[in-house]
Amino acid sequence: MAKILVVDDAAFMRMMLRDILLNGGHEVVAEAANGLEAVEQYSICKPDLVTMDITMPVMEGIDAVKQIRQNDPNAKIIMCSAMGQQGMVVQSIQAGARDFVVKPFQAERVLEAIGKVLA
Amino acid sequence: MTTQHIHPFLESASNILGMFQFSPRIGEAAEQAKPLDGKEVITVIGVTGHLRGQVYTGMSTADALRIVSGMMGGATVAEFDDMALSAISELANMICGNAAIQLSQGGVTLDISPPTIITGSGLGVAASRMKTVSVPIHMDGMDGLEICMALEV
Repeated sequence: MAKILVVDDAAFMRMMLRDILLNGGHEVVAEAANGLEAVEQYSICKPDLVTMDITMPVMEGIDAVKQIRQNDPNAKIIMCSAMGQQGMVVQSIQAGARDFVVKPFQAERVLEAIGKVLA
Repeated sequence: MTTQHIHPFLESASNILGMFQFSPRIGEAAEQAKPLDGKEVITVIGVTGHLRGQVYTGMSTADALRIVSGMMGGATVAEFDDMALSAISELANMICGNAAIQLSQGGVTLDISPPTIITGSGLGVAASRMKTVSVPIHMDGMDGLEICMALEV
């Protein structure tokens, strides 16, 4: 079981992810609706893992990954975005994300990615 | 804006609705005088990069509720509340995001804005300075989704 921070600007996606993660035996310790909130929540909750959207207002996801990794070089972050073109995946991985799940996703794909990153 | 630019948005919409257990069929493209005429829920996503403009989706409230239900694995959705609004915005985000993946494979790279959603009765769009193309996505027993693209190269 991992403590997870869920980051997505859509309340609906946060709800769907929370359901998937709870059913997978994980705990959602906090949620954030943009990159800036994610950076703040990360330092408060110190989660084991973060799921990160890309297209968000205020601060987008790849910038948030860079900031979080600057504060904690060991941060484990998985991108969950509809913007899964190669350029975005490469930028995310270069910023420090460990994996990339394209929306719309299946529950198994999300849990599998988390399992691999935590292993 | 050519067929090559339009088609990925339609294919993406069709694939995504299919994942939510609908059987969508892409209709005929048309340049309409008033796109999205009479719709009750319209999403707007801004596009920048190799294409610039907006992509709209429009539907009736009744269809929006059915689509949200499909997105939630069949749960009953009786009211078009904030969570339903969020789900429909996310549908638009997925359609444009997945279209951007397809377009990038042909060297057309895009960035998209977070979605905005407009609700009301008898809505419509007038993009007077941009050529718009509207395409219906038919779904059994439903009014169906209309996708309107106002994009320039």
